[in-house]
Amino acid sequence: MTPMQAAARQRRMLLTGNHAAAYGALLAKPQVIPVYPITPQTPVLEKLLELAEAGELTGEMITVESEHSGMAACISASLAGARVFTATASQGIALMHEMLHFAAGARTPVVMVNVNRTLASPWGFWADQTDSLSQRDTGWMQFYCESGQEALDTVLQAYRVAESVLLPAMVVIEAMYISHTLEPVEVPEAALVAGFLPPFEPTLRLDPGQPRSVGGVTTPAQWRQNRLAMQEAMTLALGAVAEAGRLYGELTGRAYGATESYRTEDAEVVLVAAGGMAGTAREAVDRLRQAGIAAGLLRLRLFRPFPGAEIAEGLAGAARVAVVDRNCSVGSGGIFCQEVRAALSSLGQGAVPVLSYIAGLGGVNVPPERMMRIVTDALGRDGMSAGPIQAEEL
Amino acid sequence: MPRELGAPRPLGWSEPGRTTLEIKTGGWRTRRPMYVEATAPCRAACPAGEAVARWIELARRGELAAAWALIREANPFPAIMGRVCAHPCESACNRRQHDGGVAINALERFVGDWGLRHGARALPDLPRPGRVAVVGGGPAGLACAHALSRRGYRVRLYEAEAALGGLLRYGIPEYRLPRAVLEREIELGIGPGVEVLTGQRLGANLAWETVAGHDAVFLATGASLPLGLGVPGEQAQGIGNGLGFLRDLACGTRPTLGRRLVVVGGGSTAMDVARSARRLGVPSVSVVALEGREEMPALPEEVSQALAEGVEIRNGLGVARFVEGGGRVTGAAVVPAQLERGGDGTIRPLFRPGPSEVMAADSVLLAIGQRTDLAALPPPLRGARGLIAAGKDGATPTVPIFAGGDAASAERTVTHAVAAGMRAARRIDAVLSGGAPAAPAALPGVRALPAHVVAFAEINLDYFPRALRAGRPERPAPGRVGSFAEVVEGFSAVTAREEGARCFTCGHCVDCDNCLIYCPDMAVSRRDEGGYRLSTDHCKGCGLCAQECPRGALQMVSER
Repeated sequence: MTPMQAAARQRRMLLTGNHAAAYGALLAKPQVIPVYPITPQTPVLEKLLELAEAGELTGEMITVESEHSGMAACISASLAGARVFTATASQGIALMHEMLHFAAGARTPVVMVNVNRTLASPWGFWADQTDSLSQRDTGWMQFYCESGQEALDTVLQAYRVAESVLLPAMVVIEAMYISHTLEPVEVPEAALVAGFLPPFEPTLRLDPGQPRSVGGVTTPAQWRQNRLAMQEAMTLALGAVAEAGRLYGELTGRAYGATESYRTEDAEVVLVAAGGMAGTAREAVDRLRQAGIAAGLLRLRLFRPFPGAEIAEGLAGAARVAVVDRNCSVGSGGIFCQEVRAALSSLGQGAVPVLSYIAGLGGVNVPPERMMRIVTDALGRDGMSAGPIQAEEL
Repeated sequence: MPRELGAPRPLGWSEPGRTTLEIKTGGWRTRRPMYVEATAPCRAACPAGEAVARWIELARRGELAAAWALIREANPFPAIMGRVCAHPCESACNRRQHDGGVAINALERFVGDWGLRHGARALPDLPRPGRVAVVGGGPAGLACAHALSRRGYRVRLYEAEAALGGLLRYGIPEYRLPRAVLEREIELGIGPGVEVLTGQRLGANLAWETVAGHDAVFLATGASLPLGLGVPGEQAQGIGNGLGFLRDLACGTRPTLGRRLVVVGGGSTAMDVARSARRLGVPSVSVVALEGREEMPALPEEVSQALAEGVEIRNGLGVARFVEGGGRVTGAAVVPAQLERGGDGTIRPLFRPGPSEVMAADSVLLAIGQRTDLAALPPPLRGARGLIAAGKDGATPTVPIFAGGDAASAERTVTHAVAAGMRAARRIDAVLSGGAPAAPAALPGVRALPAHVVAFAEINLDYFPRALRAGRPERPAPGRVGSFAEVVEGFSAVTAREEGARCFTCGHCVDCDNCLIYCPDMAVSRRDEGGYRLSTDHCKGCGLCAQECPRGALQMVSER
């Protein structure tokens, strides 16, 4: 399909990130949608209700009394063979935590949008990646989106990957910066993506006509085997993400990968960022290049499975790496940075200096100038810092 | 399409047909829920033992035929009850402690009135050989005749008056119990197995031997002899008894009362007499009662209706003597007094010091009670305190003679009389058939706990938003003293449904599914025939079902 043809089959709408995610869900045709509202995710739910009211969304929306129950309903419906969508944020995903493990262990390809928001206490409604990163080890795939457009596109890709490897997937956007910001979004027509995401038809499903149980007690050996199978599925998911991103690009003109390298070829300093801050970093890179500083950006889109090899390849020529985290694992530091360092180290690239910068915690704005200061700071350091560097103090 | 990519068959799936039901977690339990049918306080308080909560439940589901039939198992006269019963059920109603007791009496009238229009006459089950004489066609006798004929016995019903009904016809004015209602309900209650013989007065034209010649006898001759005050001047002209006045009225006679009437008594009869007199055009009607306003045995609504109709009620006064002029009463001398209850249940006035006052009167009617005429009965049946000697079940010392109603009891309400007739019918049936009466069937799988009366604390109020009790519509007072047309109007279907929905249905499962929904172990399942099954294989005894049961139909019991 030519870009012209692809453009003709998409409608340009002015949407917030939340509404774009809801349109992604609409195109995926979920059959069961248990959702509990929470700021800043609520507009996702509201848009879905509007679409259901208008008769466009035909899945059954279930009002639940908590996110924990919501995820329990997602798991049950998915085991019964339904395509399931939900969305949450912050305290909601924290409350779901127990069920997130259950969803992954039961191999239910649930797709969930999470709007990154600070966790209490103290109370806040602002962007912070800790809520979803805290769920790192639950067995969910995690995609971090840079824009509303990407949220829409990623929901569809996440279903395709999740249903092929039977693992749940989280599509993450940041509070306010993406969730509540209007931007032009290309919404594909349903027929354009129908072949990309055929109906979910698992061979194994719960059926009252043929009752059986799932998730019951296993032996230690069986439990281990289940966990190894999940690990194997995560490995396979790396390939599935790449293929889904490429195929989606052929259909819509927007291709995606697990990571995105921007002007990294000859870069002396490579910024590493995920989510909305990656766009700011891209702007900073352009300005630095104009000023004669060889900066680049490696954007992390996929966090689980962690694309370590792809990252190592992308950072291979860098003299300095500056990982910018909008999160802080208290007592350690930026979570993305830890993962990048571990991947480089295990792949024999441990000599590359990787500096950890914490920026924009609690929704503090990170303008391009701050990203530029991060780069100049990184250039000024010859080795490692003792701990994470606070970008707001540079 | 890489659909088969990875995705080995996940572990933890059982073979088809094998479910977690195999895991019997019931062994963890120290307590278990019991699915019960307990007694609602309304039923415990009902003299006739009507299954009130259950018939309200049927009525609100629109099953009026079933509701009518269920009331009639305990009380064949719901349309009459819904008008004249003193409704102790409403005083006992658990909802009183929430937002006002359920208007049970009005609902009973609603169901009863449905029966007047749509109900069918009582037909016997199977013919049985016994022949029973019932003496007295008032509420007790009618109820007994009804119940026995339903069971297949042939009944001779002897009535002294020209028509059936007893006190219902001759003692309760039409504005409270319209004649058409009375007659239709008697017609529905008395089946073809009952031979009615009117104008047969025991000791006059009906010989004791005739009665005693039956296989069993139920004596329900009522209490027809008026009590007097025993004060000076009582023999003066113009002093009569209230029940006699009401009887005359029922027979079409309109006694002359003058312009000023004093009625003595504080019960329903006093109210009936006073209000009837107002309807006959007596301008000044005063009731003199020993009791305070709140202690009067008349129902509060009767008192308020009487006041609205211009009756004056003077409380805490006793008649010391009557004043006469030329042999005719001209007034009643009243003094401060109160009611004194003797240890044996008798009541008498206790005069207190205070100013005497003469209330002018052209006539006086006494409504202070009646006694039973025992003269026609053989000596063993003449009991203490002027009543026929009979136990709670109606059995007299001379089996198979039974007695009930006002003739054998000091509890003189229509409902007590009906209950006595029904109880005696069960006993007579047991005696004649040689068997015990069958226990009423509970719901499937339900343990009947008749002795457990559901307390207010057992109701889960979260399921019962507050809703005001429906008022009973009344015709406006200014217009109603002009006639004997019925004062209180019935509920509309909408009001009846709304009021019925207020019933907690204490102790009786209504298939609300709460236990099913809340059981975390899915140990509760529906039965095909209605109700629920509790799996002791899986119940861990957490008690959520009993907590969430809105009405106490699940009770936790210890396993030990």
